[in-house]
Amino acid sequence: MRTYIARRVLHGLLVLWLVSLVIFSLVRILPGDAVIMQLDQAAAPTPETLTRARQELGLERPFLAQYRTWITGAVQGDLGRSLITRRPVTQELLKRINLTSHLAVMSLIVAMLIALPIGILSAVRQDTTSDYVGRFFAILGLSLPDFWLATVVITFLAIWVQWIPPIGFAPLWEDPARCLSQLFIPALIIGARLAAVSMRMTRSSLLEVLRQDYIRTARAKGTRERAVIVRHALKNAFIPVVTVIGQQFSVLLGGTVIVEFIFLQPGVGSLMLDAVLLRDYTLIQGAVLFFAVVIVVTNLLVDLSYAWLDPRIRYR
Amino acid sequence: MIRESVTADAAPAGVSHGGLAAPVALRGLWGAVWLLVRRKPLGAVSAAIILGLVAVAILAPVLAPRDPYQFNLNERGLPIRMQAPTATFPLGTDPLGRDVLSRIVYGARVSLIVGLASVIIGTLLGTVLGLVSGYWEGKLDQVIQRGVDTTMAIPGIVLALAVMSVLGQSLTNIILVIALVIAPGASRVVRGTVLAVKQQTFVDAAQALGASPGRIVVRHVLPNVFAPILVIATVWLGNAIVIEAALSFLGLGTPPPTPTWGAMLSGEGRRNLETAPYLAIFPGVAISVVVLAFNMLGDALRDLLDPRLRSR
Amino acid sequence: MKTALSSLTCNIALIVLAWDPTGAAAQEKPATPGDAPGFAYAAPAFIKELDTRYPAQPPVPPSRPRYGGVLQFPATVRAFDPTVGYRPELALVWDTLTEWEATWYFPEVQRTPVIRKTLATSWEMVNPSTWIFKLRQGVKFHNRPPVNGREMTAEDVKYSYELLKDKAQYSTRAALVKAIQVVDKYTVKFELSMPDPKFYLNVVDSLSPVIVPREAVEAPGGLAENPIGTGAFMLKEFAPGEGALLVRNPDYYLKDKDGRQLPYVDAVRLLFTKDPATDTALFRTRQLDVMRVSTLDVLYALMKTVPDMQLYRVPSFGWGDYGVSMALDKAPYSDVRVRQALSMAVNREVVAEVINRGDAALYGPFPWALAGYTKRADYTYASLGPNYEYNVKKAKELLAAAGYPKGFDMELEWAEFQGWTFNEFVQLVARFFGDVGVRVKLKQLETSTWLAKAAGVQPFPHTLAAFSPIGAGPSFMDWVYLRYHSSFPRTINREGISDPKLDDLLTTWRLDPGEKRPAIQRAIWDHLRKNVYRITTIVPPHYRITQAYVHAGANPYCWFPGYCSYEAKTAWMTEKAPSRKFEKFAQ
Repeated sequence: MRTYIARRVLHGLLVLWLVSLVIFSLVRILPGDAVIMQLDQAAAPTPETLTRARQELGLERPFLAQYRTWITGAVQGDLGRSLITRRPVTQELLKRINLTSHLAVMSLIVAMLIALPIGILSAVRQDTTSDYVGRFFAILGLSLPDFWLATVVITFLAIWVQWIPPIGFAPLWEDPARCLSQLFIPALIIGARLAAVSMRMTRSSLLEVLRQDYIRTARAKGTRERAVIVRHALKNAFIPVVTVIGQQFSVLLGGTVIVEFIFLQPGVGSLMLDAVLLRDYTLIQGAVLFFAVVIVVTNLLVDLSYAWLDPRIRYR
Repeated sequence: MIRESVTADAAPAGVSHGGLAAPVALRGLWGAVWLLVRRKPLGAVSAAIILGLVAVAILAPVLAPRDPYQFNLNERGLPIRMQAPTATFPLGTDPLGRDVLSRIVYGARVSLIVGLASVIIGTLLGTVLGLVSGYWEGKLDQVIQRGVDTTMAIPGIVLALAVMSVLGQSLTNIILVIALVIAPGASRVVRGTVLAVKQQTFVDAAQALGASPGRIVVRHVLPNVFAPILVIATVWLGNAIVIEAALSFLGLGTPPPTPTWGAMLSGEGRRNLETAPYLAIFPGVAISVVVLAFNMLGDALRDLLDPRLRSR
Repeated sequence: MKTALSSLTCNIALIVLAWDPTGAAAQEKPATPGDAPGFAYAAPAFIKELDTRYPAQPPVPPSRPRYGGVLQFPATVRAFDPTVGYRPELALVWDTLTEWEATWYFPEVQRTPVIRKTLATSWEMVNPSTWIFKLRQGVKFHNRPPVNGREMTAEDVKYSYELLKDKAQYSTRAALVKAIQVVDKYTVKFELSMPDPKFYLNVVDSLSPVIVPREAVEAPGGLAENPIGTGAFMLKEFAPGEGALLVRNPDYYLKDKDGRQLPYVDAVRLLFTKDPATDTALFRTRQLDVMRVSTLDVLYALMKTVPDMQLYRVPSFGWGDYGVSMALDKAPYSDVRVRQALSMAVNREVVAEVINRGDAALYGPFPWALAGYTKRADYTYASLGPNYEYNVKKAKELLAAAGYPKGFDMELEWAEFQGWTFNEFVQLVARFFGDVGVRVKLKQLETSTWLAKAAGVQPFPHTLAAFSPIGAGPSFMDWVYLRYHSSFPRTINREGISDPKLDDLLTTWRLDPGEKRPAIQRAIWDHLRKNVYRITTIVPPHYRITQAYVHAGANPYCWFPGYCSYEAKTAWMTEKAPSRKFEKFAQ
């Protein structure tokens, strides 16, 4: 088991290194750079001043030198400074992660509140009307593009109710009322999608478990159907559901860029989008590396949980 | 936004290590259709919708009342901008005076092409990678898997922006980007299936009998891979259309004047949500219906093809 | 192999199915001419209503300005640090020697641009290469460490110029200054590198160096962490990507005409919105007090739901126009006949209709006002000449004469950019060019790539849809001299124009002490409209809207997100304004 873990960890580190290399090169291929994006529309700069500005940012050094400086810092936790705001990238990221985690958790709660009951119901009453209706509504959440839904919501909320979620993030422990009112609508929108995915997972997983022999035994013993489901089926059905939720959570942490964009919530996703548009290399690199770490760690945990559950995998 | 469906739908614990039972015995095409209608009416309805979509796409020149590119002018020679739906223009006109109905009809083509092409390319690429990776294992497997992991770890938006900025924005590049997003997930699923199949004794038997790897792959592995891939593909077909709309929102979508539902929804639809909501409603409904249909079809197929999920 | 084959098939399928040559494949039913346009609203009537309801002068405020309130408006600030770049929002914190009273002078109301004396109170030309500026006495920097409210002196001006003269934002203006001498505590002498009889225009507004204190620049973190200046507001909190909160500077030196100290509002909260839908929603829910609206459609929609809003609608000086740049150094664009033909191929009425429902003015090679046209009635085809009139026949003749009887191929690059509807513009232009035989391939770029090309940093192969290079205020130097004189590099003279006759005219202009300048400007106008170095079409008016409880005065700076910052100094809010806290940004 230990060799397995060690191997997986090593793989993870390799992937992280590859990601750092890829993203470092990728951003430097993009046309345009941070210097131009900082100037007023009316500015009339000369090429020399632009080059000098780039030198000050360290962008004129040879590629490998730049990479070495950055990666040595990154490994120690210093992701460099944003080319635009000159603030430390780690600091920026941490602030945004605060909001994104709030949003992720709330979306998750919303999604579970929708997905679990519908998923269970659908599985238990497979191919009946309840199943179809439940699935239909859940999948509806998947069909409408979330950015579109967000635009519609923010526009018509303002018109009909004269209210939109307040701007300016306050964490839950500082100002719970404001935090909730800020995030519950984006959470609803994001959660609707997540609910659809989780519902299907719940349904198919529960269906599979319900076919198992031990369930048949329980029924044969005369246990009531509800007890069968609750006591025997659900527990086992949830293992893959939990895995999927874990994976979805990492996706959520990646930020739901467009919803954040429209509702002006400063999360990690919109940080990355802004950074790419402004060609803020260090910020992009930092944000992407952060995502990669989240994804790699989540995958690692998922794989480890599979290995723990299914001994066959360990010994491959 | 992009990764969800792959990991969730493609890897319900059963299918990735399984799909092992032999595929449903299909008594020809009509047998399959009848099975679908009888067992999974929702799936049948979805299939009908999708067939309708294909028909609309193919018959677009016949069905569309006008040229989707033409600026319809009024008596002063100015384009009839943003006219609400009337008898002459059943779904209204867009800001350049073009007939929305015709654009929606032709948009079906582009949406279908984007969906089909990206999914075909993506799943093919993913299948090949997964097969190679899973069957031969060893160093090749490691290299491919690390590559897949790296691609999956980079956010889709960054990839899309990078591709578009460097290669330019066009329909082909959008298809390429979406295919790049699909392929890694698909390859993982295929690899998982291949690994599981390899455990089976009949594979050992075949190898012992001297069957070549190619034959084993084609005869034994592929049929088991087929089912999960089909399910992934149907769902991704719907997703691809939504992704195209999201890319249009970010300014990276299909460049004008080609009519696509995504660009109509995210462009003039969103910009004029209050003064001309019909510009957003019709492409929005079109997208939703089609995505819904693909998702339901995917569900139905999975239920049919994985015997453990069939009804009592 | 499989992938390649399916790619190929897909590509063929794509070409067959997705591309539909104009009109060829579809059944065509001609549009019935008698169709009554069932628009969401009838635009010409709405425009007339706007003309009557919101006349040129803003309404007289109900009372004397009231102190208090927190002004909120949309902005985009990347960093509060003038050494790295500049945005107009920085004018809230840092001042220049002088600034414009209003960014443009509205024809029929104001003929001469008025300069507001901020840090400099007077100036004197010793000779065209030597200028003396007298500074205002008693100006204090913000009272915060490490500067602690000390007085601004000539040393600070010298320091600021020397610090910022090499920075990209200020270098062109500062290049004119060869040396600065501190004559005494409140007097500065500028030695210029070439004579300029109107040098006082050089130090106005954001393209000239702002005055910063040495202690703040040299402190750890520099100006970014110690954003101290002489401006009307002090930066209290900066949340990148979210917004910023600035509070009133109690020691600000400017006073209004009654002698009361400015600014009136307690604080300014900037919201870094990214999306127009968010802006309108925020305005509706009274979280934005003053902002600019880009199209008539949005204005109409907002008016329906916020009927008591105030509107200041003025013809644009020149910001926000729609045009096409051409690669002038190669064929066919190097031939003036081709350029004239392309310009004649565009029906500007249709463009105005599509872009802004007809509420737009014609636009020539540079702002009307700079060519001496001070009345809106002058903005006509007659003043522009035949090159700007819609004439397909003549265009085709010109193209044939230039050697392109069958037209040629063109790649038109463009991008989405907030505030402009280039999407519709380029499709329209492509259609017009197609009518004269020029086959246009539209190429959409990612916004930042396009910005780099519009800024002259990256080349473009054929044509680029973009706004005209702009100036910060009504300055002929910014709008014309820099952009058309061949001595400037591509980052400034964006089209790479090299025209000896034009250079002569421009140099004559620069050397003229003043009386002949209007005539020379008109001569340059005539020269440029004949040569059509850029294809310009129309420019929509500026719509600045404010809530009923805000009086932002007749200082309509708000022509682009962020430029409302200049209005913040003189804006005030009535007691009907929503009460807002300003302890921190998130309140």
